[in-house]
Amino acid sequence: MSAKKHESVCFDLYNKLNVDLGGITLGLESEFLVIIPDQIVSAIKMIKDDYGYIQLIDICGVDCMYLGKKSGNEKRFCVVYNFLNLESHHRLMIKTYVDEGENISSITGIFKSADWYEREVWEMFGVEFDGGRKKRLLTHHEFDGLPLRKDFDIQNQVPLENVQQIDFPERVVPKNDNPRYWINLGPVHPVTNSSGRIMIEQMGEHVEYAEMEVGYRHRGFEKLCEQKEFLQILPFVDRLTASFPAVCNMLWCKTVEELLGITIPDRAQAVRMIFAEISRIFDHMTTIYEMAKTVGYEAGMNEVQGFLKRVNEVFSLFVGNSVLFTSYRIGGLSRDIPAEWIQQMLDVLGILTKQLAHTRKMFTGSRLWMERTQTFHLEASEAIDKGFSGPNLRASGINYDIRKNRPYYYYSDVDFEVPLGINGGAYDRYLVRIEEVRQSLKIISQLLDNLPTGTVMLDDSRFTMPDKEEVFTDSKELENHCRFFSDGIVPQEKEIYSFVESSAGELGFYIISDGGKRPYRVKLRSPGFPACQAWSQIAKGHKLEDVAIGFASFGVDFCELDR
Amino acid sequence: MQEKNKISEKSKKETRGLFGRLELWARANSMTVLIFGDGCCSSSRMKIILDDWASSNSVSIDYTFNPRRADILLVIGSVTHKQIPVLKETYEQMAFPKCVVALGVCSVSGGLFKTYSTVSELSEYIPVDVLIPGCPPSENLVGQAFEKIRSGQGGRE
Amino acid sequence: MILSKGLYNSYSYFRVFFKSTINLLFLFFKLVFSLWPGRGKSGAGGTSQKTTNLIIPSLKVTKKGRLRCISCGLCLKYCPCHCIKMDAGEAFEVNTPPDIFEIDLLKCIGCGYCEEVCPVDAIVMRDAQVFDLQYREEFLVSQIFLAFRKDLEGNKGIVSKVEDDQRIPIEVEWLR
Repeated sequence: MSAKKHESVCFDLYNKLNVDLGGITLGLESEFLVIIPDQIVSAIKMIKDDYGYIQLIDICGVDCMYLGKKSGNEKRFCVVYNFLNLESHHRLMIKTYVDEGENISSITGIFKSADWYEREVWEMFGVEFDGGRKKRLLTHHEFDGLPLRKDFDIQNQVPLENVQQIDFPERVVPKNDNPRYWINLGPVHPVTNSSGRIMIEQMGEHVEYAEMEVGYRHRGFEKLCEQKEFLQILPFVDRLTASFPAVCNMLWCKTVEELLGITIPDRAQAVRMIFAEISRIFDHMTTIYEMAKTVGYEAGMNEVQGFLKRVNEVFSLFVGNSVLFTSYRIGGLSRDIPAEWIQQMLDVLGILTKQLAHTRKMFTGSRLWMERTQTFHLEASEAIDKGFSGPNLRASGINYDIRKNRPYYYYSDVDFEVPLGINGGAYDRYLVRIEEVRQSLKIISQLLDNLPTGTVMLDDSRFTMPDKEEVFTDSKELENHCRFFSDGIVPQEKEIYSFVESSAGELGFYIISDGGKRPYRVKLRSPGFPACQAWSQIAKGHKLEDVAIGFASFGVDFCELDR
Repeated sequence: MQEKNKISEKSKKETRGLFGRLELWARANSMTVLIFGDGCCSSSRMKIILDDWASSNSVSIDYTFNPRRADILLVIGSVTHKQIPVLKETYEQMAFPKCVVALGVCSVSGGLFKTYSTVSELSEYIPVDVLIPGCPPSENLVGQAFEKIRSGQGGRE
Repeated sequence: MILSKGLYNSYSYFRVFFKSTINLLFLFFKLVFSLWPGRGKSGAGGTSQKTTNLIIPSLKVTKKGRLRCISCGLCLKYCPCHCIKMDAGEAFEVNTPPDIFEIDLLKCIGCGYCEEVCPVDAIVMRDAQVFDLQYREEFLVSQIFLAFRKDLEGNKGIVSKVEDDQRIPIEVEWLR
């Protein structure tokens, strides 16, 4: 059903707008269309109004200098748009090619959430959008150069002298009005954990205008990926964020495995799912801890911290330290879980379930908590329009979960429910999260009861290392070992977008490979980006005392937002 | 490990009188820490480790985000060029005696992410006293480093 | 306020009061003065990582006492943070240990890639005591620290699984 519908989308666009159909690959989860820059706005308006692609996921820029001449393309830059249809669960990607000096018209009139994405493409590549803001986002305001172009040297450092002042020339304050002042919740602040800056223009006790400044944690991850091989990127992906430790590596391995077209053994899939659910529990409880900290609910904080300590212990029993997962490889895992870990895990699960019931009573039954968190309501149409996903979207009443709609690994065989909120306030976001923790515990116990047997690593000499004992004694295996590490993993010329449901929303990797042993372009779609971008519209009109808890309830992690 | 010895004469125990020694004892057993930055050695994990160390050695540790009240500045995670003016202002607003601790490989020597936007030598911008290697640093190392600070070998007057 | 459970069943108020006061005094002394016997300066944490200090690569030796390394350079190429420095000269063609092999411990992240890549079992990740190293320059350690320090089986080094007579020589064109 889905393939036919998308054929109809493409052929309708072809007939009405005379669009070039080069680059279509039907049958995959994401398909590509190529459109010339003059017709972008009318095409996007058509697919939003008539065909139901109502959410913008990502805008990505590519420098095609070394990519070769494909389908008659001679222009330097390519801009890739990514849209989602919530009813048929299909993702449509639209590409345009522009040259240096050409402009594209901005789509902020149709999708308001395109503002920051276009700013980032301008900052990194130099492509200008008519009607878009020209202000740096991730690098500092005195930076000189366009980092993601292919002729920019990665070690080229530009130091900074002065902090950026609060200056919004487009804000015109009418005279004879109430006096307005700017407040700066600067980087060193408990709400953002010293990684982001919130600027608020207050009038009396209410917020009149707000903006966020990000980029304090920008480390240049995407530029680094272009210089390392596929296997060498694993330590970098391990250390992207501390909120959900095991999910980023799982996503990287899953994307490369789909690019190569291989499937991993059953036991490896189940073990990866177990760790993904444990990280989900960890992240949700950390968000609730931060919310309790802003309200000042000390008893709740201590309760949640005891819960978190137990989860930390469970990680460190398997790995050796509670943060890093260095045992994920392309093709499975490098070592199997020990037998006594399963028994310890089952004991801990029983304790956690009982402790969770007690924690719920402390929060849900407390009048202080209920009254302080009834703020920052979001309607359903607003939430979709601004690009939210994950528990923030489900708290407004929309039933969308990637584990149910596009199941990967064993999620279609496991029995669990998806909780929904009613009003879209901070209280609903708390309720959705604590119910998801209970469902995750249920999933883990089902998996541990029916864990499949077998190996955890795929036995294919093109992608996996030979066994170490044989390498020391057999000369053929030794040659294979040396050649495997000299050549690396070489996929075909293809592009792919792969996604998982992390605890904050939809997390995705977009990889372009040109047939060599290094990826050509890597882009990470972070789930916290829409929340920070829509901050100026969400925070308007609320009281100053509710700003902190409203921000903490979205559960934004700055390390993977800034990459 | 620490930088070359920079302790002044005033802080040595033998040259102090009774109230001087009382002041040194009080300062060593009650610390106020300002955690700057967030990385994969996350600040919440550091708090858990420091609380465990403090409760087993009967030291009291308090966390604050106000530089006027802090004694120790703990820098976690890789430092970017955008953060340097903020870090300098925070350091200058702290009152003497103070101590700067760089935790983890990312702030000590640049670590894994060495690109156009990260700083690899932090001591060009602010004076650093104690360096703790490791990715992430183990709890033993953090405990030993804080023992050194407590016995008066780190920091400046 | 009765501080211990067994006292609920006793018959005499005086005994209960006396025992509770003694318990309270002991708690007070324990908290304030920390003179309780058997309690010294302990390390931090209550999890299973109490004994690790810093996990760094260590070199292995043959039975005769020489380094097992053959200077193929795979660990140098695969280290993600470029903390290994090696100077081999002609050793690359002849498959002998290098002249200089240094690791900067302030840069090493302990990922274990050098151990996975090595084709002759010459390098392994082990725990090391680094508290004696005081200044920044001492953290650039050489082969003597890496192979022959005190905690590795008493200055003799760990013996590798691959022996000289059993080893298969590596051709240079396998390592492009």
